[in-house]
Amino acid sequence: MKPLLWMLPLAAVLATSCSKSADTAAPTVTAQALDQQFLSAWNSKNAIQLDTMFADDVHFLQGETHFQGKSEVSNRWVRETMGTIANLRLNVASSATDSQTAYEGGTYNVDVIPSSPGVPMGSGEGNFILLWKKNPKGVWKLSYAQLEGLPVRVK
Amino acid sequence: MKKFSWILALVILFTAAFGTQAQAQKKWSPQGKGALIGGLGGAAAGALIHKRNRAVGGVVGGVAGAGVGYAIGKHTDNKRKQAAAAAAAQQAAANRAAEDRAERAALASRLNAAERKAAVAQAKQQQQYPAMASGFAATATPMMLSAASGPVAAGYLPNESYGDRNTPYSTSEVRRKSW
Repeated sequence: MKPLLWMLPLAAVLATSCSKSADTAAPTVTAQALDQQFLSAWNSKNAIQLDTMFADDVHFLQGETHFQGKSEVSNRWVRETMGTIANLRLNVASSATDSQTAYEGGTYNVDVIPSSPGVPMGSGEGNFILLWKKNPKGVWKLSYAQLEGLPVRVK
Repeated sequence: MKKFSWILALVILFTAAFGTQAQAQKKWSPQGKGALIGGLGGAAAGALIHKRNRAVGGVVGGVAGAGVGYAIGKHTDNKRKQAAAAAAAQQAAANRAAEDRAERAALASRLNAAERKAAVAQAKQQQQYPAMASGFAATATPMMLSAASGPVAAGYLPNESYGDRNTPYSTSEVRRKSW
């Protein structure tokens, strides 16, 4: 028993150091930072990076549609929409972050690229909420996104 | 006793002969025919089989034969009636189909006539007012259905997936989906 006694203080030191590092890492991630990453991935048309940000059970709601799961959201929202828009901007009205969840909600503006040669450029706007959650591994993932689009104006 | 049986046999023969005559003059129902033939046959058979008392044998045989004959006649009658009903139904269906065809043909010819009349009228109008006629032709498609003169004219993009229920805002004629 005696030869093992030295392990007790060592374990205590290790435990405290680990918890300390976890505490200090948490506040650095905010909803604003997560949304900026998300936004820049959209504007650089990086669908693969967006896929890594979605939780496995992510929900996406817009109008009559409700997509659920990483692959459905990725295929039917991200990949179908990515080529049709550019220069996405967010105007945040409300935001909060705690140890497990982070969200931002507000309005968005975006340029709508003409789908065919005869159609003019459009200017879209609407309302959004993006809810982020920490997964069991401690990584932030987008868990819920809801968009409400307003009529797209001719630019 | 033997005499009586001969008389009975004669009576039976006479009735049979009269029966066939009557049948020839007037149309008998299958039940009646069956009962008569069965009754006569049964009476004759009964009289022949029951040698001790031919009268009783004849009566019993006649009653039983009439019963069986009636049943057979009824069966035949039912069959005939069924066949007649089926034939009538078929006839009625054929009549209806013919009426339908006639109606459709009449409608088509009316439509054709109306189209020809309209074409003639349009040709006449084009001769008289060429500019106006082409103006009418341009508004042939309803205004709200054409993207060029519909929502775009009001400053909005048209919804290209209008009516497609797998897309968001499928009920809106104006495009709402941007992000």
